[in-house]
This record gives sequence, structure tokens and C-alpha cells, in this order.
Amino acid sequence: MEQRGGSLKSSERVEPEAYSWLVSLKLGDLIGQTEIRYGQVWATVEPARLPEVVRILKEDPDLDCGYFTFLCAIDWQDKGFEVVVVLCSISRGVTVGLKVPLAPGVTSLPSLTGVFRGANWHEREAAEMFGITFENHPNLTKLYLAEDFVGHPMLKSFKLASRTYKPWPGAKDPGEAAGGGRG
Amino acid sequence: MSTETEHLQEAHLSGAGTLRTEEMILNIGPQHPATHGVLRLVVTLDGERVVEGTPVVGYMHRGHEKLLEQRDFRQITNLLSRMDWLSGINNEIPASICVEKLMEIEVPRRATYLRVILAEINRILNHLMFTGSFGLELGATTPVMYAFRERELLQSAMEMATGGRMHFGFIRPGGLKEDIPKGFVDLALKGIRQLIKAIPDYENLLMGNEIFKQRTVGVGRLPARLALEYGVSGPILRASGVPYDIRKADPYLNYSEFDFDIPVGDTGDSFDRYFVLIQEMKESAKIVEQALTGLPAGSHIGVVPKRLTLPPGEVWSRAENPLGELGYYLVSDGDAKPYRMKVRTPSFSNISVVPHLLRGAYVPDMVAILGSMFFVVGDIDR
Repeated sequence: MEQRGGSLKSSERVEPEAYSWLVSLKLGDLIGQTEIRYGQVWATVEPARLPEVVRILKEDPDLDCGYFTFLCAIDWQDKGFEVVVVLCSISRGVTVGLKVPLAPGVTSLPSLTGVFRGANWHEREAAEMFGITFENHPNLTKLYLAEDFVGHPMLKSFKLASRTYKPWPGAKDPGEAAGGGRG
Repeated sequence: MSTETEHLQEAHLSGAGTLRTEEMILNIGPQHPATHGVLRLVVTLDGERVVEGTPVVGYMHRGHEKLLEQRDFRQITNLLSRMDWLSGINNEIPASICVEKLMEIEVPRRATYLRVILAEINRILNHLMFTGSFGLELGATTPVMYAFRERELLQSAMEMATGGRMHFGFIRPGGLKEDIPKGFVDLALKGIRQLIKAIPDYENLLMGNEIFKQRTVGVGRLPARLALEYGVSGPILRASGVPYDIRKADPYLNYSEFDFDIPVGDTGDSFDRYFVLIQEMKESAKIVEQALTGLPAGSHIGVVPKRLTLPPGEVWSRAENPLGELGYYLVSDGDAKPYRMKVRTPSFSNISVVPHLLRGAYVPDMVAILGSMFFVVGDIDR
């Protein structure tokens, strides 16, 4: 990739610690405290600021975080949802994870499709599985599920059908076999 | 003859481009010989040209992420090898790495070596499958015969070690289910050496073939920037000239100890993707040979508690699956089952970029493009 006027050379790899420092420097109070876990840089972001944060990560020549790895959601039940976005900087050799907690009852956040077109399918999947709305998404229709499917299967409140229709005799899940079994 | 018909005929004869054409919507799949498995395509055609082509997925959605939340960390191994059914071992490895990271389990060196050996043999098996099937899709029936001839020995070696030919269920947190049997090393080496001898044949058979070149050179060109934006990975990304391979970029197991190269393409067209696929087999063969000859003695599994209960926490771990970057984001709340386990599969991201490649392509090129995107439907749908 070509040199784009940053202070680092275009293909210079950096340590996660240095990268984390750069992220804090460039993004300032747009993000929360950064943390290094298993050699990856993790930060918390408010939902409304997510597209801006991701845009800076992608377009800043020093950060150069142009690889969209994935986006997913987690249902923390009464603590609300959490959306996780993971990007990767191939030139710097660093993985960046963004954790976006949504307050209880909040089910929408801005879409990332304006920054990374590849977020399209990931957001559609999170939308149908968790009932989260990604604002300004070009086509937030069902991805895997049938158009008329009711409910959001990945919610903790959505029980797996095979475990509810007919009760299984005896211990079937790990932990149920108290003291014995193959648990 | 009406004025309009006359006009149309004249335009047609003079090739003035004023011919009025109508778009047609063509549905391909979910079951169609040109799409592996149940991928469905809805394409809008204008004559022989594709105006818009959209993949429709979900016909094999089995709800793996939901099922993973119901099972413990040993049971999930068998679910994971069913996602990308051509590379079970490669699917199982990063999940065990997640558990090992959270529980701080140490994996013995012998187990790490064996994981590398099995993963690379599995990569070769996967690549041989696509070597054959890509030829088949373009109307060449010989490559698949060649590929399956070389597959057989390596497949037997896998069967000898794991007891399975497809869904291995062999990787455990901490190591492997059991040690390899006597004779495995010889059989695997025999298979690898036969493969190395046969690869030039594959190269001559298709890559030197004029018809194959006509069908693939310049067809379905994927620019590197677009590939990165979509999270495209694996041989497809490398064919676009990006030397990104997790075995080198973010080494796991003990890949950093082996000597191998990352083949890259130049233009990112269908030909380059096939070229990279073939070259990668040579590199994998190199790794397997090195690992088999340097295989240390020791235990096949580390010290693992009888009941696996993970401490609360999150971990994102990834590996170079034969088709690209495969990773698991494991969230544990301290239970014996994952609270959430997001599966990031390579085919999902790789196929989401397909509409860009199909736009403006000719109908017969569509098959060349899809065939060179090397995907497994179970890996897209999960």
C-alpha cells in the first residue's frame, strides 16, 4: 500500500502497546480506556460515536485499520445488548476490538456500512438474530431466516425448540448430572 | 414491416447500440450443479450480461451459534467440524485455542506438532477438492480424477489417525483426543511425496491450457482494497496481491518454526485464485514434511481438568482456515458452556463480495467466478 503522509512508514509493524497508545492519541475522548488482551487492542465506544471511530481507524494513515473482520452482538439480558466490532490492521500487524454497550431497552445504533461496505451482511445477521436496528443500513432485510419468521433466535429468552417440546429424560446438559456422569 | 421493427433491425445490423433489450431475472439454485451445496443466486440479465447478481443464503442455516450455547467445551468440537465440512481439523483448532487461552492450559509440543500436521494435511485435502471441482465447473473432467487420486492416500492417513474421513472431532482443549497410531508418519509422508510429484501435472493440465486461460484470465477481478473492506481472506485475498496469512501475520500453534512461503497473485482474477490454491499445496506439503520429520516425543494432551469450567472473560482467537480467516469470539460467564460464541467464517465474508464481481460479467463467466471463490455453504450459513 502506498505512503499516505503519516508519521509511520506504510508497512511498518508496531507492537500492540505502541498501537494502543496511538489509538488513544488519535481518538482522544471518542473512546474509553484502551486495554491489551492477548496481544489485541480493545476499547469501549459509545454507539453514536461508532461510525466516526471506525472511520478514523480505517482512514488514518498511521492506524491504517482497513480490514473488516466481523461484527456481532451479545444479549446481556437485563443489562442490554453489546455490539462487538473487530478490525485488523494488516500493515501494522494489530487487531483492534471495539465493544459497544447499548443501554437496557436500546435496540438501535448507526450502521457501519457507510465506512465498511463489508459490514452489510454482518449487520443483517445481528439484526435478525437479536432484533437490533442498524440505522441507515441500505437493506436491513433477513439474511438467513425466512421473511415471515417471528422472533429473534439468538436472544437468551428464545428457547431452543428441541429442548422445550418434549422433555429429555435424565441429565442431558453439562452440570445437570450432579456428582456423576460424564459432565 | 412496422417502422419500429425496421428501426430495430437496422440498429441491430449496424450495431449502433440502440437495440431495445429487456432485463430478465434468473433464479439459480438453491440446488444447482454450478453452485456447491445450497447457495442460491438471483441474477438480473441483460442478454448475456449480468446486470446484478445477488447470493441468497440461509438454506443450510443450522443455528450453530445457538447450539454452541447449549453444549460444553468438549461437545462443541463436534459441532464445529460440521461448519466447513472440508476442513474439520482447521475448524476445531481455534476453538480449543480459545479455551486454552482462558484456562491457561499448556499444550505439549508433540500435540502442537500433530495439530500442525493434521491441519496442513486437511488444508491439502480441501485444496485438492477445489482443484478438481473448479476444473469440473469449467467443463474439464480430468483434474478431479487426478485430485481424488492424490486425496486418497492423505485421506487414509487422516482416517488412520482420527477414525474419521470428514468430521474428525479429534482436537481437544489441551491437545488431541489420542496419539497417532504406528504407521501414520510413513503413510502421511508417502501421501505428501506423491502429491509433490503430481502437482506439476495439475499445473500443466489447467494453468497451461489455452481454454482454461481464456475462461479465467481477467475474469472476476477482485481489487485488493475492495477485498479488505469486505474482510475477504485466504487464497482469494492473496490472489489479489495481499500477502496476508494468519500463520505468518499472527502465528498460532508453532507455525513460526517452519519454513514456508505465502504465494500471492497479481491481478486478483479467477486464474490467480486458482494459481494461489495450487501453490499453497506445495507450501503445506513443505510444512507437513518438516513437522513429520521433526515430530518430538511426549504426550498428546496437556493437563486438563475433568470438568472444563471457564473463568468469566472474553477471547478472540483466529486461525488460517484453508478458505481464509476463521475465528471464534468466545464469551464465558464462568459456566461449563459458552455464554456466547460468535463464529467468524471465511466463506461468509468471501461470498458477501460476490455481487461486485458478477456485475457486468457474462453468464458463462459467472460459473468461473463462483467456482474460483472457493466456498463451502456450511461455512457461509453455519
